[in-house]
Order: sequence, then structure tokens, then C-alpha cells
Amino acid sequence: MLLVVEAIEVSHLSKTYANGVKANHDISFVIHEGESVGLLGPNGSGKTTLLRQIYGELLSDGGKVTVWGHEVPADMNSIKNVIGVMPQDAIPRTDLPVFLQIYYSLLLRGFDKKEAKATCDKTITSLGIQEYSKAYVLDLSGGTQRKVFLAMCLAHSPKILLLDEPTVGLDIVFRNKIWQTLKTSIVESKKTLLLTSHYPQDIETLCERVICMENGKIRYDGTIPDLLSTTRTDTLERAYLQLMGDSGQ
Amino acid sequence: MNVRKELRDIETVAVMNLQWVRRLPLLFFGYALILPSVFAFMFIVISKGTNLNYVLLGTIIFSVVQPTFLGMAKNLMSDKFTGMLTYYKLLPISPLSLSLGVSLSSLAISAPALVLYTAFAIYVGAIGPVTVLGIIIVIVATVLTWIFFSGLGYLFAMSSSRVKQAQMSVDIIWAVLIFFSPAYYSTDVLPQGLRYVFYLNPVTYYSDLFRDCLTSSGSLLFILIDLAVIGALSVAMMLPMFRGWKWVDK
Repeated sequence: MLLVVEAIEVSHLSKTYANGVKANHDISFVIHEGESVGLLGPNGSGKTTLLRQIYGELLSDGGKVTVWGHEVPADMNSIKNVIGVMPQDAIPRTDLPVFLQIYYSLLLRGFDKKEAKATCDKTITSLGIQEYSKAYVLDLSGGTQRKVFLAMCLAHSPKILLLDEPTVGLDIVFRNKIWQTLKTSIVESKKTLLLTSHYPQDIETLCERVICMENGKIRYDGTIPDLLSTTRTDTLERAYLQLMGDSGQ
Repeated sequence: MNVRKELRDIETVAVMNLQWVRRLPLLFFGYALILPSVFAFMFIVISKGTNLNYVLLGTIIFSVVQPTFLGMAKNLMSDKFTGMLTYYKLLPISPLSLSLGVSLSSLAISAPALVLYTAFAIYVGAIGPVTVLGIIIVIVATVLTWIFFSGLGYLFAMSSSRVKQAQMSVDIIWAVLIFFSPAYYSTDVLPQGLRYVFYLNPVTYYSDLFRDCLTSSGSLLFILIDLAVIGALSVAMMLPMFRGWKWVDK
């Protein structure tokens, strides 16, 4: 009998911070293996909180999260090599060259030195950052630093990628580069992707399904074509604005 | 717990944390040798060279305490505020391995000063005659002190939420720990009441034990009491690292 495991299953998840701020309430959804899902919402809508609950850095008040069939955070050790996480605004260590950043992260994931070196070379080549291989992160632009972080998330070939605003603060050229990298590395290799973004364009480019959040609740969960058809709009941005009660006119 | 894996992880984190030395050897030289030497010079001048054994042993104590606490707290805080700590939390390594690896790298930076000043202290007669038991106790106490200050650095880094305040507070705490203790000078120069206040500072116990063992000046009972206090404090400080305190936010 084939056992089907959902990549991510979130059930009735809630979180209220100690200061009384309700970050999210009764959130439920399932993400299947190979699916690319975007979490879209304004600042403070609870996207980052939700992502942190999914990757186990933040305890939930109620509800349940399972990643690849393992409960979070109780069974975190079983999913650490299954997921690749890019936290919001994260930058790699500035005191290490790009190659060593990735190399040491692989050693800490249990790769032996030879295997880590080969995997590191492969990742750097596939992300097109060979010219920066020996450069220190400190000397790189913000966009390239994000790309290096992405390389650290992808190097161990995780089945699931959880990316929190990977393109925030980047100009359109770098955003395009990140999109290309993600398209090649994730979408085409059938990895599961959960991406948060302020930018509807990020999600439209990379995801087939969108979850719109507002004030800690889900306003819409479905495919992007369905949302466009429901709202009778031609772009996700327009559809999103209409959904949130602002036509943008 | 897989001890072999834990040791490998500690080594990897320590080596990774020392990579900056290859890029900035002069800064390493300054941090490892010039900084402790500046304090040694300052206290030699203040004491007009009459208290050389205190100053040299103080420099050795400084070489253990300062990089362990400061290195641990600042490294973890830097990783916390750049998002790298989240990345490390999601690697299959334990909080203890990460913490001890960071701490070990800081201690390695202090090794040149530790070796140099120990050799100099022996040369000028500030150390000795020393018994085998005394050396063993000093080594055990040094390891325990290293664990204690690693734990303190961990607690401080994990509980801080604002980068600027946290970094400045670490500098203040470090200065209080080192200079409000008998590391560099004898508490005999202080008023009686203030001497008792010094016993709230863990560095006082380490300084007393270190000096009593290496100059054969104290009774075994007092040395064992100091060792027991250092041991208890180290166990207490190791628990948060072992259990990954604040590893998951509430």
C-alpha cells in the first residue's frame, strides 16, 4: 500500500504573543508534495509568524503542524534535513567566504568532507555564483548575499523550502535573478515551496497556489487562475487588492 | 546522545568560527595578545611593579574569562540578529554543540596570551612551587570556569532582544566581572564590607582558587570550597545550553 504523506499540514493553528497581539487564529491548510504555494499579505498579517510556527522556531498556542508526517516542534530532528529555511532579512555570516559558508553548513548536516566539497561545488555552479566562490560575504551586494543564503538552503537538497520574503529590498534585476534561481532549483525539480512575500509578482512567478492572509486569518486559499477568474482581474496584484477591499483605482 | 557526532559538531563550529583569523591576522594578534598585555601593563604601572604575581596571574585569568564570555555572547548575538541563529537551529546539531563550539573558538583565540603569560609567570617566579594536585585542580577549575562563562554568554545572548543595548551591556558586565574581583589585585586593599560583595562575583572564586593552587598559599579546604562553588555554578549554567533555552520562542 502506498503511504501518501502531505508535505505540510497545518490544522487549527493559533498564536497570540505575550503582549496580547493576535498573530494568527484558526489557520488550516494542506500543502501537497511538489506544490508551490505563496503566502501573500500586508505587513503584520501573520505570514512570518505562521512560517516560524511551521519550521518550529515559534511555539503555537493551539493547533497542530506536521511537516513530512512529523509533528512540529516535537519531532524537529526528523525534519531538519527535509527542510531548507530562509528566514526574513537573514544574511550569511560576513566573516566567511561563500564556499566555506556552504561547506560548513553541509558538514554540520552530517556530510563527510569529500561529499561536502563536491556538493558545495555543484550548488555554487547551479546557482551561477562561481565568480563569488572565494569572496567574503561582507564584500558582496545585498542581492548576492541573499543568493548565497539561498544556496545554503538548497545545498542539502531539501524536499521542502520555506522562504520568508526572499526578495525583500532587492531591485528588479536581482529579484529576477532570484526568481530564475528558484524556478530552476525548486519548481523544475518538483520541490515543495512555501514562500511569503509582500510582492504579488513573486508569487505569480513562482507559485501555482496562493494563500492570502489578513489580520492573522486566511482570506483566500486556492489557485491563482481561480482567484483571477473569481475577481475578474488579469494580475495577482489587482486580484489581491480587490480581495482586500481596495481596487487600487 | 551520540557523543562522536557531538564532538565532530563542536569541532566544526569551532573551526568555522576561527576562519576570520585567516583574513584578519593582525586583528587576531591584537585581540589575542595586545589587549591582555595592555591590562597587564596598566596594572604593573599602578602597582609600581610590586605585585607582579597578581598582575601575571590576573592576565592569565583574564585570558580565560574575557574571550569565553565576550566571544560567546557577541558571536551568538551577531548570529541572532542576522538570522543565522535560526539557520543553525534548523541544522541537525544540538544547542550544546553549537554553544561549546562557539565558546571553544573564543578560548582558542586567547591561547597565545595564556601560554605566553603562563611561561612568563613561571620565569619570574610568580608561579610555584606547585603540586601535582594543584595543577589538576587548576585544570578542572579552568574547564568549569570556561563552561560557566560560556553558559553566562549563552543566557545573555539568548535573552537579549535589542542589538545595541545587548552589545553595550555585555561590555559593562565583562568589565564588572573582571575588575570587581581579585583577578588583578588583592582584596586586602579594599574595605572589609566590599570584600564580601566581591564574593557575589564568580570570578572571585576562580581567582582565589587559581592563586592558592599556583602559589601554594591557600589551605586545601578553601581550595575545595572554591572548586565546589565553581562546579555548582558551572552545572547550573550548563543546563540552559544543554536544554536549548530559548531555542524555541514562546
